[in-house]
Amino acid sequence: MSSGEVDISTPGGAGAQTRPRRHHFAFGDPLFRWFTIACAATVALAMFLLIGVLVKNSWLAIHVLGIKPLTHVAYNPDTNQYGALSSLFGTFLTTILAMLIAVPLALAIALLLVELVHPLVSRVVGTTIEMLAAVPSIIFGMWGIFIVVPLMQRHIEPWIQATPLGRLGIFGGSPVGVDVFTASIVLSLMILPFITAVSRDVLQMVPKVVKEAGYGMGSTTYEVMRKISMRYALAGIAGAVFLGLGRALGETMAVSMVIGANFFTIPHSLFQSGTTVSATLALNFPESQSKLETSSLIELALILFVITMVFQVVAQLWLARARRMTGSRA
Amino acid sequence: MVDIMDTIEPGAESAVDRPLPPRLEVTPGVASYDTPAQFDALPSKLSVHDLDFFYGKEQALFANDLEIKEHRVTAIIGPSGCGKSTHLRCYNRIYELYRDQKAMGEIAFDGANILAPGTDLLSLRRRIGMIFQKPSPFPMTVFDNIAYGLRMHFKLSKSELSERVEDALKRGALWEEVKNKLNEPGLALSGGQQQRLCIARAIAAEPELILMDEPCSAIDPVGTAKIEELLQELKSSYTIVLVTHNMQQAARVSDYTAFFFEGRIIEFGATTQIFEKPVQRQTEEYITGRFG
Amino acid sequence: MTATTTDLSRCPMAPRSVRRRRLVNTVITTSSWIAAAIGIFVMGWIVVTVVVRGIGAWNVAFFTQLPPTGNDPGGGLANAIVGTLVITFGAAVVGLPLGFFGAIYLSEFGRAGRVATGIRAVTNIVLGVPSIVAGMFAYALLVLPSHHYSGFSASVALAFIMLPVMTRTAEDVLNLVPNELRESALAMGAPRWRATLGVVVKAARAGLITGAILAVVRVAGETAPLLFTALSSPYWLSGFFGPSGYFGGPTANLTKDIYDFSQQPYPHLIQLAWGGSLLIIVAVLGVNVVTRLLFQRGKEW
Repeated sequence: MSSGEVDISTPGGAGAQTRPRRHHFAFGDPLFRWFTIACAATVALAMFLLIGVLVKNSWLAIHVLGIKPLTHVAYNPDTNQYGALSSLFGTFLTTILAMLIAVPLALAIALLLVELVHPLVSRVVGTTIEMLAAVPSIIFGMWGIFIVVPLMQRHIEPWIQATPLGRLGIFGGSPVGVDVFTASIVLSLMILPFITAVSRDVLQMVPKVVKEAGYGMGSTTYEVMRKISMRYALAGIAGAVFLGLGRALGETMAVSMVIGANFFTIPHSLFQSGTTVSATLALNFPESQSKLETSSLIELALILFVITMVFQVVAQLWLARARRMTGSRA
Repeated sequence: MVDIMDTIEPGAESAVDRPLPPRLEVTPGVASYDTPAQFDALPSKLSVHDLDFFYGKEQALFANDLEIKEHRVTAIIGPSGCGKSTHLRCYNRIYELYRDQKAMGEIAFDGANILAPGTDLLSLRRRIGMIFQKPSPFPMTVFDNIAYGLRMHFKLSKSELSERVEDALKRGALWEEVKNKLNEPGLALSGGQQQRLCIARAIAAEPELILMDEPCSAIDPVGTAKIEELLQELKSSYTIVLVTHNMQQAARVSDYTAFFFEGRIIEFGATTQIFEKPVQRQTEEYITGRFG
Repeated sequence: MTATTTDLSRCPMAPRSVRRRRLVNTVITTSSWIAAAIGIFVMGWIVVTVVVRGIGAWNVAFFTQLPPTGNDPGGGLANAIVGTLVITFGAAVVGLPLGFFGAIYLSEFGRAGRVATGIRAVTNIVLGVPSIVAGMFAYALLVLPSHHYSGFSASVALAFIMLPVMTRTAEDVLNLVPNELRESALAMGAPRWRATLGVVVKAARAGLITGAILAVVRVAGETAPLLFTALSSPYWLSGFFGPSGYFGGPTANLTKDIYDFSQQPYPHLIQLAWGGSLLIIVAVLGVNVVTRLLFQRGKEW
C-alpha cells in the first residue's frame, strides 16, 4: 500500500492547534483492506464449501450407484432405483419451452415500451413490470395450481386437442392439467417480467443518435430495433436471457406445484405429468427413506449445481466475446 | 409484389420536366448575389416554403424560406440555438421520432411536398442521407455498416455488394485506412474515421441529397480537414446541406450560405457575398464575431 | 479508380419492395402490442387473483394466532410471520455486511486486478446457484451433523443467496461514484478507509440502501431453501437457541406454510395460504414502492 503512513503534519496554522490523530490509525488502512478482502473472499469460500459438502454427502451414492443415475429413467427407492434422467429431461424441456415463450414476449414488450408508446405509459408499465419481477415464485405456484391447472385441464388442453394440432403426439393423452405444458407456461410467466425489465433497460441505453442514424437511412421501426438497437444491446439482452434461463433451470416452487411431479418417465406428450430436478428434490427429499436415497438426492443437487455453473461460465465467456465483437458497451 | 414507388430507380426522376420552384424571396432587403442570374438558372433540389416548427407549444422556426440548389454545398450558419439543426431535421422528417415535435409549411423535394401526410418516409430517407453531429456507426463491422443501407433498400448479389461497399469506402476516402479492417467493429475506428464511415454509409445507398448536421464538431482538426476535402469531392455527384457553427468552415466549403437567427432566416446568398458584404446588420455582427 | 466510381454510382440497383418491408414492420409492431397486452394482462391477473382470494383470510386472527390444528377453521399465520422475519433478519445480519465490504474491496481496492476478477466470476456463479441447491447446502452443512432442522440453517441458506446479490449491486453503485471524489478526499490527507467510508460510501448511500433492501426482500420470499432447513412448525418460535444449539429448531415460516397448506384438501387452509400469499405480495410490492419513492426520486449517483 502506497498511502504513506509518514506523518507530515504542518507546523503552525491549524495543524499546530489540533493534535494529529493519524498515529492512532497507522494500521487503519492495511487493516481495512485486509478486512474487505476477507469479506469478498467469503463468496469464494462459501462456494468451495458448498462443493465440498455436496460432494462429501453424495459420495455414498456416487460410490454405490456409479453413473447409473445418469443413464436410468426410473426413480424408486423401494427397488433402489435412483434414475436422474427423467428429472434432467424434465428440467431441460420445461426450461427450453419456457424460454421459447418468454423471450419473444419479453422482447416484444420491451420494443413496445422503448419505441412505440408514450414515454409516460412506458415508465408506468415499465415500473410495474420491474416490481412483478420481484414477486416470489411461490405466488406463481399458487396461481398456477389453483387457476392455471383447472383452466388447462378443462378448457385449453381439450381445445388444443380438438384442433388439428391435437393429432400430434406431443399433444396426446388425456388432459390432466398438472403437466409439462402447464409447468412451462407458469415458468415462462415467472421469468417474463425479469427478462422484459432488463431488456427494456438496455434498449433504452442505445444512444439516440445511433437510432436516428438508423431511421435516417430509411429503416422501419422493426429494422432499427432488430438490426441496430438489438445488436447494440446484445450483450445486455443476452445477459438477461442467460439469467432468466439460469432461474428457469433451478426454479422449484412454480414448477413442482404444477408439473404433477413424481412421475419419473420421459413424457411422450406435453400434456403428461413429469418432474424436474428441483421438483424431485423438493418432493422426495423430506420423505427420503434411506441413507442411500438421501445421498442420491444430494448428488442430484450437485448435478444441478454443476449444470448451472457450467452454463454460467459458458455464458460469461460468450458474453465477454460478444461485447468485444460488437464493440458495444451495454 | 411490384408497386410503382418501388420501381423508381435512383436518378430516374428527371430534373427537367419539373416546374421550377418559385423565385427566391427571402427576408426583405436581401438583394445582391454574386451572380443572381446563375443562382436562378440552377435547378433547386429542395425548396422550403413558409416552414414553421414547434417543440410542443414552443415555436422554434418561423416562416423559413430556402432554396437548396442541385450539386452545390449550402451552408447553414448561426449562433447555437438558432434553429439550424431543427431546420435540417425537417428535410428527412427525422424529428417525427419525437412525439411533441411538429413542422408546418412546405418542403418541396424534386417538386413533391415531403411534409404531406402520404409521403413514403422509407424511400424519402433513402434518397436523403444524413450525417449527425456525433459519429454514429452501427454496432457491427465496418463492412456491415456500409452494407446496411444497400442490403435494406436493394437486392444485390454478394459480389455486387462487396464491390459497392469498396466503392463507397473509396468515395468516403476511407478505403486505404480500413481495407484490412473490414471485419472489425465500426466502433473501433477513430472519431474522424467513424464520421467518414458514416458518410460512406450514407453515400453507399446512392442518395441525392446529403444532410450534414455539424459533422466536424466532435472531430479533431486533422479529421476535420479530411472531411472538408471529401465534401469538395462529393459536391460533383451530390447536393449537400451543411449545418455548421464554424464560420471558417462554411466559408471554405460552401457555395451558398444561409444565416439563421432566433428561428428565422436572416440572410441567404452566395457564400462570398454573405461573408464579404452581408446586407443585414445581424449577419454582419455575427460574421465579424460581435456576437454568437 | 475514379472510373469504377462513376460507373457504379450511375448504374441502378434493383430496389427491394418498400411495401413488403412496411408489412413486416406492421406485423411485428402489431404482434408486439398483442404480446404486451397478453403479458400485462396475465401479470395483472396474478396480482388480482391473489388479492381477491387472499383478502378474505385477513382478519385479526390471521395476524395473531397459530395455524389451526385439525379440521377447525380459524387460526392464523402469526408464528409464520414472526418466523419469516427472524429467519430473514438472521440472513441479513450475515449477508449484508459481508456483501457490502466485499463490494468495497472489489470497487475500491481490487478493481481490475486478478483477485478481484476471480472473486467477481465466483460471485456471478453463486448468483446463478438455484435456491434449492443453497437449501441443500445448508442442510448438508448444518442440519445433517446436528440432526435438527433449524431456523438458523435457513438463515444460512438465505445469506448464501443474499451475499452475491448484495455484492453485485453494491459494487455497481460504488462504481458510479466519480473518481474525483475519491481523489479529493485522499488529497485532503484522509486515510483510505476514512475516504472510503466517509466520502465514497456516503455519496452512494441511497443506492446502497436501496440495493440492501431489495436484496433482503428478494430472499424473504424464497421457499425452496427453507424446505430442508427451517421446515415448518405449528408452534411459536421457542427462542433463538433451541435444543439443538441453533436457534429455534424447526421454525414456522410463511412460504413453507403457504406451500404446505396449498396441498391440503381443506378450504380453510387453502384460504390461509392465499392470505399468506397476499401478505407476501403486499410486502414485496410495498417495500419496492416505498424504497423507490424514498431513494430513487433524488437519485444521487
